Amino acid sequence: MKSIRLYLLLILVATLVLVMFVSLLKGYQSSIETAQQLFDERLINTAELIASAHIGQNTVDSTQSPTSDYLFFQIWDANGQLLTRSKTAPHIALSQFEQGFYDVNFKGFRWHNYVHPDPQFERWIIVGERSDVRSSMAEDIVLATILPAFFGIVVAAIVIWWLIGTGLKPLKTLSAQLSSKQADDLRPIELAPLPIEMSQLVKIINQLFWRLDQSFQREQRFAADAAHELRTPISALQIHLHNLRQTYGDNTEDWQLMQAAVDRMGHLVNQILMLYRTAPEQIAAKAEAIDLYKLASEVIARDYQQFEKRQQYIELIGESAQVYGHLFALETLLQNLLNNANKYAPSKGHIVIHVHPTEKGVRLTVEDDGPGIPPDQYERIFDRFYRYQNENSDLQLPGCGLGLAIVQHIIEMHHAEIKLTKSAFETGLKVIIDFPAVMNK
Amino acid sequence: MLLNSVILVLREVLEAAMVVSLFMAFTTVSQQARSFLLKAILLGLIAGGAYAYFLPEISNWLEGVGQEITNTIIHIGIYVFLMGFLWLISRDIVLPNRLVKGMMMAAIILAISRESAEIMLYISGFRSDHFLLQSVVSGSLIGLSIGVSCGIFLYHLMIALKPAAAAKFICVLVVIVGSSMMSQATQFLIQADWLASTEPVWDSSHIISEHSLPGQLLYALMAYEATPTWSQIIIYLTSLLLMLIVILSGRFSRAISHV
Repeated sequence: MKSIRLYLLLILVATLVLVMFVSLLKGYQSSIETAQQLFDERLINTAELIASAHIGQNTVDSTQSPTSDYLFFQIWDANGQLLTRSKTAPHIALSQFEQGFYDVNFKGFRWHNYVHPDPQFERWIIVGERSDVRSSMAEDIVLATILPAFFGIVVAAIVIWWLIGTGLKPLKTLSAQLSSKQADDLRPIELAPLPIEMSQLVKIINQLFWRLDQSFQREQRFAADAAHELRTPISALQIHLHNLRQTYGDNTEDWQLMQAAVDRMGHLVNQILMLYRTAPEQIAAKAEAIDLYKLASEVIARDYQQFEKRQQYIELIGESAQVYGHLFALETLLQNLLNNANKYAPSKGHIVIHVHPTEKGVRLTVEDDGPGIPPDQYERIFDRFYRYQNENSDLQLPGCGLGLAIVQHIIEMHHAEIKLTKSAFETGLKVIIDFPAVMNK
Repeated sequence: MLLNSVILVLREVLEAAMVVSLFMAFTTVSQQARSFLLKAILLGLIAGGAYAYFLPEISNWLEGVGQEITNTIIHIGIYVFLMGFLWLISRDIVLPNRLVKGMMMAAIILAISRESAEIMLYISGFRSDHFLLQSVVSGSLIGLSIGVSCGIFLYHLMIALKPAAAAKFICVLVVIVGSSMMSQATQFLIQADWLASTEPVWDSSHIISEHSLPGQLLYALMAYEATPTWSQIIIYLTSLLLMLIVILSGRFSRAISHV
């Protein structure tokens, strides 16, 4: 069902047409029968009138009298001699001499006759009229009552259309209110006056909003609490581990493994918190115009130390390019892409970031000269907790497999598109992200 | 005259409305666009106009039985396309497959062209008779409105069913409507004297008259005749059986491929 209004209009008008026309046809049949009875009575009256007027007893030539083409009369004596007739009537008797109605063919038409006995003068009076003319006259009378029904149905269809529209107005208002709501607006809907049929629906929607609101609040509280409760002990653990290594020396492999495990735990906690903080409703609600080039330079400057540590050459090429999005989410996206490039590019390797406006929006590319990823793994590396391990490399890199999952999550929220390909270097990965010019709010 | 016009137009419109509403319901149940059906309806009306225009010439073909034979071919054509439609869907070839669309469009174009040509010819026959024209036009409008309303009800009845039940219901109706097309083709062949006219096998006019509204509805659905001949009954049942075989063979071949 595409439209409730159209469905109701079609069904109601179809019902109206069926009920109205079928009853009209029934009425038509009985009206035609009544009209035929009236015409029969008129024939009887005409015969009686002719009898009482003593036509045929005089020498008056009735064939000269003006009569219509669809009426006739004949007067016969008891011996079967024609006494007189109307101009349209033949010289032969058009019916047998017995009182009653008869249908005969004459002059190419069907005629309905009445044979009337006149006992006073012992004669027979036959009057008749053309059946088709009788039917047409009867139909004309009945049609006059049917024709207004056509206009009535057209008027009814227009009125029904308007009435359905009025009846569906609260639904339209509800739909307008829902669509005009901001993503973070979870206040209950207020509709007044609310029809009984919709009160349950509005009640359920409001309950859903309330539950969503509660759930978002819980989630936000969890993110804030977790940030505090998990980060603090991990930081303390890292400090104590550092102190222990200072005290007892850090040459053993166990210390290094413990340090790597704690670092991975810290990274994992940070990534999970980022995933929660980049919720779609937050991105849509707090979207703004952001210069992606400027943001990339800020992220590089902030994390420059990690590139310097590995003596990597990082280059930002491009120009100012505005995207419409969430600052924190885009920052996280750049950070994750650069972290990956930093991890997988070799020491003294190259990382190049391009930001430039395109016809459809803004393109961001990040490429490195690391080992790269085989094309058949492009789809999988966006899966949560999936980590691609190069078979030819025994390099164990820290990470939890959430980085690119978060990147894809942020990309979907910004209605952007991501594509992986080989980098311009001999080896390595190139990540291409196309942002739309204006994010669809 | 009004009642005659209602019955004649209703009979023609009901037949076309049945085919159109069947396919409309099928596209709705299949969740596919149905603009191609509207195109088929328009093409059918244009073809109907052309058929009505050339009918005096067509009638003179084949020693004066051109109209009857053309109508026979049209009815057999509708049956063949409905059979093709059943063959495809019973083998899981469904919309938006172009062949399925083609079968549906061809059946609608043929059904509407014949029925609309009949109506156009009937009304144009009274063009010069102003005495009767009003009754004829009014009766035709009533017949058209009732026929279209029945089509709307049938369509909504089918889409109100669960998709699986609706698909089965549509198949059953296609079988019944298809077989009725063959029965009507037989009537035209009898009219053209290409098939011998035999004594009626039974007379059920006292139960349901062909001229009553239920009689017209049954005529549109399954070519109801109060006095059918043996040839009509045999051809109707054979056509019905052929369509059932097509459906069952489709099911059988699907079952084999799933093993």
